[in-house]
Amino acid sequence: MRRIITESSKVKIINNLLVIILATYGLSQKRFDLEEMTLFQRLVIEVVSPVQKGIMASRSEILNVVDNYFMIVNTSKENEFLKNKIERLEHDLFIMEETRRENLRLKQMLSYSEELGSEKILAQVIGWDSANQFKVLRLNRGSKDGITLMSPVITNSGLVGYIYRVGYNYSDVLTILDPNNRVDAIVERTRTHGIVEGVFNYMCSLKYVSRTEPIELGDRLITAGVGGIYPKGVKVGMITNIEQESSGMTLSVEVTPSVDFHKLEEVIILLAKPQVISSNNPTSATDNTKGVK
Amino acid sequence: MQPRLTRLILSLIMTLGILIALEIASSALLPAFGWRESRLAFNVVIILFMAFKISTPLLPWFVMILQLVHAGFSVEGWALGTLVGIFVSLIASYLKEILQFSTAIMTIITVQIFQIIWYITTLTIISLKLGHFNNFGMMFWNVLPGTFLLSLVSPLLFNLLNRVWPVEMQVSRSTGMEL
Repeated sequence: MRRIITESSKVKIINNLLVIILATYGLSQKRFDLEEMTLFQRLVIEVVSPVQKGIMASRSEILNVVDNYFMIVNTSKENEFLKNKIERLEHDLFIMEETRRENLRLKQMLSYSEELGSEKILAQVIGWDSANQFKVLRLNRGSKDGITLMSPVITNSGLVGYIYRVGYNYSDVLTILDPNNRVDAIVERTRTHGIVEGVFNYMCSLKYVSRTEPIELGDRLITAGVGGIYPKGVKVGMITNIEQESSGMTLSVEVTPSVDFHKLEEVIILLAKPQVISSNNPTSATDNTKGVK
Repeated sequence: MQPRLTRLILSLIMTLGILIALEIASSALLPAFGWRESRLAFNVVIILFMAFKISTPLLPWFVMILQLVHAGFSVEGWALGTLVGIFVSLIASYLKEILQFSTAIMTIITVQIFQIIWYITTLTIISLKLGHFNNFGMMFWNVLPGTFLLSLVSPLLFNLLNRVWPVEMQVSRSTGMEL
């Protein structure tokens, strides 16, 4: 018995060590600001993303069913016909209204993106990262649509983030809410430079702003256009709180993003030149994405 | 030996199916209906279940496979969760004798404690990679609501997984392998 337990323990220890070594190597290679997908990841994403896409696409249908159908289950037969008719009409109206709103949003986004001049692709948000530590969203566009790593992602309201990893049909965006995404920004009114970083809770902070800068609450932040990822002048957010740090020469500035990430449904991807990720040169991204290597 | 290993693999495949369904719910279904504040990390609870109840030397590989699938839904990747999963399962293996899952409340409390250990370890590693601990508190605060909810649903999930996994496995005398 003793021999059996010892052998079993040996197998356990060897397995644990092997996986720990593999995982440690994987972790050492991991970058939180840019990633090239492995074949396995591509496979998983290509298989599960259509389901995510389907859920998002049928959202209005499900809501309609929940709102309208279940509520009339117990009504009398006499009213059933009329109610069904009203329901159908309401459903049609709902779909039309959704389409009208979608059209409006897309028109606004298209007219906004015209001003930016670069080639762009409209995409739909189909999912969010399943881990709380990362603020990443999934889009229904991939490399087959011409999406490349580090393409900036915006809406007519402002900056969303950049393409973090690309699959054939789908891609993931590292949003400005994530601390690994750092945006070189300027205060529109005073032209003060700073770095915008995500701090969770759907807020950001503006860092490296000197105490002497005359910034105020309500000042708007735009992208500085340096670093090569984001075009200049895209709205980033608004200053909503300023505190003097107890020590040091800088201010602690809270920024509310221009984009309402709670209601984000469609985005514009501005096509960027393909980036090469090199494990030997982790800073190859650009200097305004100084996330984790 | 062979049928037992087959059973384990079958259980793992079924667990992967459950994980994919729950990940889709967490990443697409709940956000579609407005829940975007907090993600529910079901992979953590599934790995905790395996750490508490499954006694096999293959456990680290199972954790890695689960994390590989999870990486399809999260930029967290497989490596970080695998390391933390093994760390937590080692702690669980030492405490196995005193851990009780006889009541729902005990399961909830145990899962909550181990989730906190999981996230403290995860966020420590992330902070070490970042090179600073500035966001540690904020990140921990951000994951906390999700852990409470997951702990509350953990008895249901454990009940489901109890049916999927052969939890009363014994040491196989012929091979010396715990199955």
